[in-house]
Amino acid sequence: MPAPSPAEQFATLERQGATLRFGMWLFLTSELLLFSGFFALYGAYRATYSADFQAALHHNTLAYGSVNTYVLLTSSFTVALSVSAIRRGAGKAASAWLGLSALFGLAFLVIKAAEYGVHIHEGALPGHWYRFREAPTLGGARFYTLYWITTGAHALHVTGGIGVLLWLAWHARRGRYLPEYHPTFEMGTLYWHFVDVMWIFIWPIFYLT
Amino acid sequence: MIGRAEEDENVAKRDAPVTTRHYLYAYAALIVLASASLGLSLLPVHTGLGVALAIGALKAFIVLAWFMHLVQENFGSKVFMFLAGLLVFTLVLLTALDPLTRAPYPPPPAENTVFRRAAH
Amino acid sequence: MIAVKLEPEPMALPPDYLHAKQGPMSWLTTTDHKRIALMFYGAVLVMFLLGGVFALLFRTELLSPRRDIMDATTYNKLFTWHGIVMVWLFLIPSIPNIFGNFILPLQLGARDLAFPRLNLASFYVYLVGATIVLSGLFAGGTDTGWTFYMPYSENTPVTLFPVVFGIFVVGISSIFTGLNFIATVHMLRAEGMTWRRLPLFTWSIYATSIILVLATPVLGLSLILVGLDHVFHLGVFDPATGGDPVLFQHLFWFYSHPAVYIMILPAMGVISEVVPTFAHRRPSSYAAIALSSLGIAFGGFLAWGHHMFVAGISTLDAGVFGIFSMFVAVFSAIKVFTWVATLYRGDIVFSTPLLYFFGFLFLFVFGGMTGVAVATQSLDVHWHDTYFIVAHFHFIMVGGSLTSFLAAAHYWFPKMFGRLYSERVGLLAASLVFMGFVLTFLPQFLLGNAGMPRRYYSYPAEYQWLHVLSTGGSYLLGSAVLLALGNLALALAYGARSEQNPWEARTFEWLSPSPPPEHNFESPPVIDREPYAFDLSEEQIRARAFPG
Ligand SMILES: [Cu+2]
Repeated sequence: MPAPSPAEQFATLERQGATLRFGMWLFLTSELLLFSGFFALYGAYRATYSADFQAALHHNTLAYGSVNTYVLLTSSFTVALSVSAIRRGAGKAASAWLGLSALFGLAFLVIKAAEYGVHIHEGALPGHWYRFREAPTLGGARFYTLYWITTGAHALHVTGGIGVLLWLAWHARRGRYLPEYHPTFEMGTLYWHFVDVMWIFIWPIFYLT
Repeated sequence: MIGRAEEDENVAKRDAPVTTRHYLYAYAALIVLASASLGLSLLPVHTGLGVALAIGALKAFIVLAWFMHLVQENFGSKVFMFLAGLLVFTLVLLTALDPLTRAPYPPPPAENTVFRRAAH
Repeated sequence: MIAVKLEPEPMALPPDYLHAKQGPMSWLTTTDHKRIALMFYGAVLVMFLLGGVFALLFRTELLSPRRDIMDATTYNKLFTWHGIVMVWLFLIPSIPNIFGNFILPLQLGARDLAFPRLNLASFYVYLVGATIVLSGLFAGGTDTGWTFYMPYSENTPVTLFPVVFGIFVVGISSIFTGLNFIATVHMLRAEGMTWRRLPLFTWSIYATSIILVLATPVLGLSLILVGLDHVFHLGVFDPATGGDPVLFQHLFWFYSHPAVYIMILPAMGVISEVVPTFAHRRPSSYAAIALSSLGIAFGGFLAWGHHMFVAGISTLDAGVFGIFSMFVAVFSAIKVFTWVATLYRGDIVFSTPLLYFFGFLFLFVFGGMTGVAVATQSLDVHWHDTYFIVAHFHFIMVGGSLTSFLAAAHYWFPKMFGRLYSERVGLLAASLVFMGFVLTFLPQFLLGNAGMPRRYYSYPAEYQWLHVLSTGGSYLLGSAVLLALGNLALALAYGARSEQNPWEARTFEWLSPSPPPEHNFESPPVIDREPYAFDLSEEQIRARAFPG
């Protein structure tokens, strides 16, 4: 497959690729600010209900959350390996690594769903539906409301990310990405890593301390 | 002509690319840090949210720098990511500062006994 | 169309962007930044007129303290609709999406934006979002005020979700556009176009884009949470389950205070082009204007709490926010002094855009000074939620943006359409817009200072004369805006053909033909000088800018 020529507004292909990646970084800053709203709410409510939050935290499903942390970190690693493969020109290998990463993503969602099942069973639900007896009522309701909306938004991003990974895997398999020019591929992988970074912060504040 | 790669500061520096070996080191560091964070939270000694968040920030830096190749991206990407991080910090700080330092909020109608316990 | 065929273009030049392709599909599927700008122009003007009609309707109701033409619920809905439509569907996209889109690549010497298809997507996302918002409004929704304060928004009996969701969608369009502008400024500057040579309008659009990308997602999140609270009673901000409604205000104003700069920074950019052009002088300090744009963008992120001084936030936090708010005023003042200094000893040509600048100057300084006053906690307690605040923010953000929007519409009219408008009608309309504006909102300062709260359906009889004045002013303002826009619309069809650079402007965008060809420049241009120094003869400049 011959190297594509740059679009009319770009002088060189290098610059077009750099611009695409830069655009993706800007999009990710925007996504980061989206999650910052959750973190701000968490900080403010934790300041208000400090003791209740720690009590609720110690009743949270630590095992599920921690396994998911390792799953996501590993998926990030396999996604990074797919970039190595693309740079070598090994589209099939890249596709396989991405497929494996998507499986990790799926595992994350399955574990998350099981965890949500536990919460529903306990009554650790948001807002007016809160029935969890083991954690204090007011602060506990705050904690689990935030827990549901934050992890829910994150799970939506994971779902979208799996779609992106599968789309990239499909095109990598068909040899769409050149070793020296593959900005679309890198943009997709950046998105997945970003989802991982968000979980890196969600995990300690809802499970650890 | 514009955009010749060798004199183009906006195009990423690809002469020293991040390699598979970097990925491996990064992954190992991430696993160690995650385990450290988990271990600290299981200890009877209370280390607190600050330590966990500091470890999280370090992990996030590793992912950004090597998995996401920010180390070899152009200056603009780095600046914007830094700026975004700074704004997140400001938003969280100035929002949380309000309930931290405000006079006690009027008790809600229903369960004000619980509220008093939580606020003090 | 027939008139065009009667006046054939010289064969040497490529056809301009309006005629390069024909037919409706060539517009609807275009990726040309100039055509997308025009499509935004049309859509945004419709929203502007709609928001204006809402305002005139409730101003009419306020002519007397009794019921005149509508009941109290309709009144609540109308001022809400006015705010929502004007803020998110008119002011936020107006100057960036129309003039930024059109002028930015021309000023940079680029053939298009970095992501032309994303630009088109931004337009359609805006249309979809606006349609959702409007259908939500007309289906009888939303009497919460444009600020959606909790807990009222959770419990209001009218529908809410379509409106907040529509605003979320419009926000996605904002993010796309901001991202596109930043990438373009970073990566598509022509050879020799260094950061110190960026025209000031480009600087201000760049600063605006930073806010668009970094603040809009927080608004989207807070509005979605309000919508979920309203529909599912999640209780994120619900005091009945221990929630804190003030936190909604934190998130909302983290966007909505910088949003003021989304509206005013592009306006300042327009002014920074208009003043040097019609004073025939270089800006008296380029660096001061360029850097203060960035200062406003960053400082503006730290000021959001000044909207919550009486909402029960901590006095420490309020003090921090008050101080940061005053910092922003310093940067704005730097700009004002620089513009005025640029006029000093200039060879001033008194034209419509410059007249709008004088209106801008008065409204902006007056609105800005009252802004510093209300950033002081002790004074804000008196004025908060009165007509004083309404008048303050209309002066600074509406007055500032509206006058510069109209200034830009006139200033770049020959660039965009290759025709000249009637200068006399333009000057008349500009004077009337200014008078109407002052007449509408000066009485509101007095009303607020006398204690009239905002958003009230009725009022004591002694306030009536000021309300009548204000309503009269709003009628004048409405007619004046129609006159200004009508003048431009007529010029579109009957205006005289314009030269390439009718104002003798010295910025780079006037070096391409007016209207520009589809791809802006025949060959990649080379910039060899400061941004306001293109004052050689046209042949000399063309020879230098397009060697070979
Ligand atoms: Cu403000």
